[in-house]
Amino acid sequence: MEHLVEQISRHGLAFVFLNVLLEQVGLPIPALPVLLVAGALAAEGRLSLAGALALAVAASAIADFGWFLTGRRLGQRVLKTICRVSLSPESCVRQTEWFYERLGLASLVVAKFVPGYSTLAPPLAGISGTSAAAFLAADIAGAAVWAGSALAVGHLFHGAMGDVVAALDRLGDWGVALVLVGLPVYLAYRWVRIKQFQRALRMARITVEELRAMMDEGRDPLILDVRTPLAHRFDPRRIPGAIRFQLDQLDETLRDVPLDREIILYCT
Amino acid sequence: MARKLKARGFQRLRPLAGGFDAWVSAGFEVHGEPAAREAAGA
Repeated sequence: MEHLVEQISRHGLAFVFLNVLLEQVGLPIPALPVLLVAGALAAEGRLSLAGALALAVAASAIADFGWFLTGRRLGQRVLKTICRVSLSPESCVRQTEWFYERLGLASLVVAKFVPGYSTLAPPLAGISGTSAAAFLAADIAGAAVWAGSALAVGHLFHGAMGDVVAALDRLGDWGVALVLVGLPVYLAYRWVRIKQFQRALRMARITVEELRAMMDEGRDPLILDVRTPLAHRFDPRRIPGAIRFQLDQLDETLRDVPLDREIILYCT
Repeated sequence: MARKLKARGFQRLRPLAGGFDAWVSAGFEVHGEPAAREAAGA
C-alpha cells in the first residue's frame, strides 16, 4: 500500500490513467485501490481530483469503446472467447446476455460494480447493435459513477488512509497467505464440481447428425432452444420443431412433459 | 440450464454438440428468417 502511494505520488495522473486503462482492457490489475489512494492524495492537495476523475473516465471509455467495436465486428465470438477463462463458459455467456437483456444500456451504468460484467458489457452492447453515441453516453456515465465514487471515498476518508495502510500491514503475511491458499482451494473445488457435471452431460451429448437421423426416423424428441432472447435477436432462426425456452417458463412449458422424455437442449 | 432441469427430475437430457451453430454449419434445415444484418452479410 505504501508502495502504491509512492507510485501515484511520483507518476501522478498518468499512473491513474494507465492503471484504469489496463484494468478495463481486461488485465487483472485492480484500479479501485489506485482510485481510493488518488482520492486521498487529492484531499491532501497532492493531486487534482477533477483531473483524476477526467482521466479515469477517459481511460475507461477508451478501453470500453475498443471492446464495443470488437463486439460489433466479431459478434458473439467475442463473448465466447472472453468467457473461456471463466469456470463455466456457457453460463458466463448466458448470464451476461440475460443481465444485458433485462437492463439494456442502463446496465452499463452499474457494470463496473459487477465483477466480470464490466469487461463483457461493452462487447455485448456492440453485438446487440447499440449505436456508438448511445453506448458512449451510457458508458461514460457508468465510468463517472464508478471512478467518482471511488475517488470520493478516498477523498472523504483520507484521514483514515494511514490507519488502513497500518491495518493492511498488520494483516500482512497472514492476509496474503489466506488469499494465496484459500482462493485456489475454492476455485479448484468449483472447477471439479463443474467438470464432473460437464463430463456427465458430455456422455449424453448428441451430435447434429444423430439428431437429424432421429427426426428423420420420426422419433419425437423434445427440442428446447435455450438461447437467450438477445441471441435470438442476433439469429432468430431455429431447428425445426424446437421450442424457445427460458428457465422462468419451466413450469408452464414442461408441466405436462414426462420426466423420462428425451430432451435435446441447444444454445448458440 | 441443464443443471436446473436435472434438478427438476428430467433425467434424459442431451445437449446438442456444437449447438445451433453446428446445426447450421452442417447445412440442415432451419425455420425462420435470418436477422437482417446477417442476411445482408454484415
